Amino acid sequence: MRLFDFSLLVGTDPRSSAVATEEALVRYLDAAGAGGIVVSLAGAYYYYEAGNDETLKVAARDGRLLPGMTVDPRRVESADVDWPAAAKKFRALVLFPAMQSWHLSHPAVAAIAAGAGAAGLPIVVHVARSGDVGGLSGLARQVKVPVVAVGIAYGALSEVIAGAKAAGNLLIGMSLFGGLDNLETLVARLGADRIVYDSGEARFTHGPALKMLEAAEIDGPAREAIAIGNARRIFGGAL
Amino acid sequence: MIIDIHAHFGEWLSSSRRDTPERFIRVLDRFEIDASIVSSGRAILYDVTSGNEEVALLVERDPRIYGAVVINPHHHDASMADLDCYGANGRFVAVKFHPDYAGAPADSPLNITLIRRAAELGLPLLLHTWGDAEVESAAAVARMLPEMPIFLFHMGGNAWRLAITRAREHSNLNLEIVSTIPEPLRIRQAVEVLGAERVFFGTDMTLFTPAYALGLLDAAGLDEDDRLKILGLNAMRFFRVPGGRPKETR
Repeated sequence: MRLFDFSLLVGTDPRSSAVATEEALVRYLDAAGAGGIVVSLAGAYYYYEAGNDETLKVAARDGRLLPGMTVDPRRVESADVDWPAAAKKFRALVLFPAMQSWHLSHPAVAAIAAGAGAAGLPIVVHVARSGDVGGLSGLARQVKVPVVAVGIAYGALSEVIAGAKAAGNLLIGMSLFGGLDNLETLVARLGADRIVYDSGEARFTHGPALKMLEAAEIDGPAREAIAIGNARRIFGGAL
Repeated sequence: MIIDIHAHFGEWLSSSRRDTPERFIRVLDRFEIDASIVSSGRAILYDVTSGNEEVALLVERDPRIYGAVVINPHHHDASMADLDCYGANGRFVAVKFHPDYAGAPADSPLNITLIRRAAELGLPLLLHTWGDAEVESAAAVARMLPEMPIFLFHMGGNAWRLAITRAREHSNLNLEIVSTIPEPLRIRQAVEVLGAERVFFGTDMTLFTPAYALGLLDAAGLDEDDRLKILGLNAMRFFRVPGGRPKETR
């Protein structure tokens, strides 16, 4: 099964002694037959422009990695991004509200999403807190590009279903839906075309996400759609 | 041989289906789990007496299912009564305490009286741990009762490094692997520091799918001997499950 991973992370996490090395990421890509969207954690935890520079370098070294651009809406200059130029270098916009402790109702976020959306950049958002998916559902309704929520934990199942039903362009990452029947429930209630694979490698291990996808009681086409099919629809068939 | 030392039976916010004995047994079949040590979600989240009673009925449904008596120091007399009732029942093989849901640390004085009684009954302690404070409370219990086997569920969660440190200091502390913070080095580091003999397999089903914990173990990249110890061989040394040692030799 080939995989497209919507959450690949490299760099240092100041809240842990973990270092997500590029070497570990490449080992994962080789072993799992994966590609995906990569972002430097420097962009999440330090300064987004520094992180974006690092992300471009990492992606340039491995064709399986699509560079994800990040912006921190707390910084004033986030309003000045040249989105058409950014869309020539990056394949997605990746936001980190939980890691950066801002809420999706932050007024700068709507303008950022509108800019990225107008430039055709899909938006990937690392969410963690109750209410994040609800806010993201509202944001998704304001843009025409796919919006992907990743890193959502099992406790948000009902919020995710309601939020995704309200926004047809909102897709859901499955990595932390570890509940006994979570993946089956998401597929039954939303359809497999709304679910994508994410893992957080190399900051986290892909083991649980991959095993859950393999073990889920869903049919082959649904598994394929989650693993890579939906990503092909978004990024093109050459993945 | 797969022995799951961390299973529950009960209702969870994140599920869209009722938990039933039939559903529980089907999961054991599907993931080829040979023995499952189950504590009651109802007892942890709500009421000790009726919850433990549910598990007492569940264990009668399948020989692979074993019980863990849930205790809560806020319901001390009821917990003590359940320890005495189920502790003598060969199908209950451990005591379970969840400090977060009970709103009391593991080493609170009232709780210690319950844990001491469990130790007298030969029941190992299964302890939810998440964060520094809960790991330190577990270490305090380990110091008070050095002969009692204690299992830190979730390996301390985000405090897994501290859990490994405290387990190195207290030979009666052991680690169980399931966690929603799937850090890549967690299990491997526990094995390197403590030895695979001190690391145990748990799923957190039916809150979680066993696939999650199996995936954690797969990704740890351990050799087959260590993997088999963690999956079940280690648990046979501590619990009265198939192949495990009988109570009188404890």
